[in-house]
Amino acid sequence: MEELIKYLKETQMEGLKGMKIEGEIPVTEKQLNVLLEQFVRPQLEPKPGTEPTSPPAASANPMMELLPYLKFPILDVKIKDGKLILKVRVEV
Amino acid sequence: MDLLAFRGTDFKIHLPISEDLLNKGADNVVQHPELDRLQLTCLGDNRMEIKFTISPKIVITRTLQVYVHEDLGFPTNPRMHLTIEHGLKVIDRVVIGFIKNRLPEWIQLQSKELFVDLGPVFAMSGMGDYLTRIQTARVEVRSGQLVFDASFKN
Repeated sequence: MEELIKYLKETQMEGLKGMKIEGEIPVTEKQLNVLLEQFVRPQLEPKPGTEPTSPPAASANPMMELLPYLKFPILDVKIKDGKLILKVRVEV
Repeated sequence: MDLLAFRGTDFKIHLPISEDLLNKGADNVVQHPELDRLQLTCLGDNRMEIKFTISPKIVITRTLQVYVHEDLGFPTNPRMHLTIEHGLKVIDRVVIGFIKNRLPEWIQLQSKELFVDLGPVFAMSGMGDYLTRIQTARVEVRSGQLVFDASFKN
């Protein structure tokens, strides 16, 4: 799998050119707050002169490494039944 | 946060996979010490050429032409169904024995019908948890690419 992901990164995702994933993601208030927390909270950095106590955690899903190579236009945002509905498209 | 955390997610997926990428993927998931070469060529009209070299005792190379059935059997029985149209004779016992007995059990040969169980393929690509959320899926073989269209609901 790592080899395949490396190949996709090296070729700038050429092998998936034309990919289109489109749809809706309902986000609850709780999830929205978690996402905002992740976005707003400053990264914890080790103090000068100290070493980090543990290595950075590996990504649970190696496919996540491909995220920087994808475009994520948000097509629409609406509120429905107390949830934030994001209409998104994912493209190469 | 994983996409599966968002209940009610509803997506249409259009995934064209180039022949190069398909071959890279096949190299990754179909491995056997006696399988020396595997080359897939997307011909179009839902037909594909599978060229392989095996060396159980002697070196054998075969080229199969297969028809790839559009329906992938989601959500109940996700598998790819290929009908071998040319290249495999009933007397080809070494090759048939190799496919039946040496390749992983998620690749099954029944007469001229070849079935690829997609569960293990998704699991190997790290997408196993997404498999049960796919409602419908179809595949199309075009010249130089395989196109996967699916609907995903969580």
